[in-house]
Amino acid sequence: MMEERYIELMNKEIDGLNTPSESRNLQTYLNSDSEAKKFFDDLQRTAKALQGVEEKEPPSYLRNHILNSIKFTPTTRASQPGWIGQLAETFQSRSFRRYALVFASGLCVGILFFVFANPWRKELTDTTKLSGSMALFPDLSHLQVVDSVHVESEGIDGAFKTYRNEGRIFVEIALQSAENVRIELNSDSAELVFGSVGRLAGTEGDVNVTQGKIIFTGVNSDRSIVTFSEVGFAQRPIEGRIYEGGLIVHSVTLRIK
Amino acid sequence: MPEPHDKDLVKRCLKGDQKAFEMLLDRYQKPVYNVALRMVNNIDDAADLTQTVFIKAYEKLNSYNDRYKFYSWLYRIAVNTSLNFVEKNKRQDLLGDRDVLQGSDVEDELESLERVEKLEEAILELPPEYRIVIVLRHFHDLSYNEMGTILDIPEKTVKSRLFAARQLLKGLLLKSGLME
Repeated sequence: MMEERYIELMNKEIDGLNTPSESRNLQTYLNSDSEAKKFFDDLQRTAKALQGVEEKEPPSYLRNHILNSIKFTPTTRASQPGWIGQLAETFQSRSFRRYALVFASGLCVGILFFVFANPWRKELTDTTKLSGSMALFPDLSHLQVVDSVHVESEGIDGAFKTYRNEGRIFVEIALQSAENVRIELNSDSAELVFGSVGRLAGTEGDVNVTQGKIIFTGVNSDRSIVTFSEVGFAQRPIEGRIYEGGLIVHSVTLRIK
Repeated sequence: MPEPHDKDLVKRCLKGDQKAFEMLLDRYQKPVYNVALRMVNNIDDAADLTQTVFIKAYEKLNSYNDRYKFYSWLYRIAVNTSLNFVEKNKRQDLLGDRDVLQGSDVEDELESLERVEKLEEAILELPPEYRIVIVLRHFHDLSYNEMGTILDIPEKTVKSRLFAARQLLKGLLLKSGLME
C-alpha cells in the first residue's frame, strides 16, 4: 500500500507542481522501491500520452446559433446575498470556516439557552410577540388555486401553487430533487407578513425566515405550505427561486391575485 | 487597447450590451465546446450542449457572484450540463461514433490519428466523474483549486479522484496496446 504523501507527490510531479525538494524526496522513494517506480513511470507516460490530444474547433455555425437563440435585454443585477446568504456561502466554502461557524453557532445556542430557556428563569416568554412559527400542514383542498407553476429540469421536478383566503396567502411547495437544493421565497414585506410554515412529515431540510424571505435549505424532497398574512390588499407577486450548488436553476414568479 | 476583463463584460451584458456577450462567447466558446466534446464524444451533441451552456449562462448572469472567476462559473455550468447529458444518455454507444475523430484527411498522419483515436476512446471509457477531472486538468490546465470550485468538491477529493482517474486510464491504455 502506497503512502498517501507519495501519492500526493506523484500527482504533483506529473502536474509539474513539486518544489525541487519535493521532487528529490519522491525520487529517493522511487529509487528505493522498484514497483512504485514502475507504477509512477506508467502514470507519467499516461499523462504524456494525453498531450497528443488537441483541442477541436467548434463548428462555424455555432456562434451564430447561440447569438440567435438569445434575446438580449437589460437585466437587473441580483442583490448581493444578505447576511443569511453570506453565512450559508461561508458554510459551504471552506471546512475550517465551517468548523468555526459550527463552534460559534453552538456557543450562541448555549448562551441563548442560558438566557431564555434556563429553568431558574421565573418570567415566561410572551408568545403573543412571536412573528412566525412551525405549524400543522393545512388543508387547502377547499380553496381555489390563484397561480400554479411547474418546474422540471436539472434533476428537479416540482410545483409552486398560491392560494388566497380571508386575508391570508398560502404558498404550497411540492418538490423532488436529485441533489440537495435551496428554495427561497421572496415577498414584499410591506404587503405580506410571514405567518407559519407547515411541513409534511418526512420533509427534509431546514427553514430560515428573515424579513420578507423564507429559505429552505438542504432540500431534496419538500412538501410545505407557507402562510402569509396580508397588510392591506397585497398585490405584488412572490418570487420563488431554486438554487443548486450556489446557482439559480429555476426562478418563478407567483401571482397572488 | 487592453482586452476588457470578464467581470466588466458581465456588467455590460447585464445592461443589455450584446457586444459584451459576443466577446465572452468568443473567449470561451472553444473551451466550453471541448469540455462538452470530451464528455459526450459527438460533434452535434457537443454543439447543442455548448449552445445550452451559453443560453443558461446568459439567463443566470444576474446570479453570477463576481467574487469568483467568470470562467470557473461558466465551466461549472458546462460540467453540470455535460454530466446531466451523460447521465441521461448512459446507453449511448460511446465507441460507435467516429465524428470526433475525423479531424484530418492527411494520410501520413494516419498512425498518429489512430493513437489519438485509441486515447480518446480510452478517455471515454472512464466513468464520467473520472473523465471530467482528466479533461479539466489535462486539456484545460485548471488548478486543483479551480477544479474543486467547478466540481463543488474539496481539493483533496480532486487530487484523489485525479490519481484514481490516471490509474484507470493507465489500465485502459495498457489494455488497448497504446502502452506496454
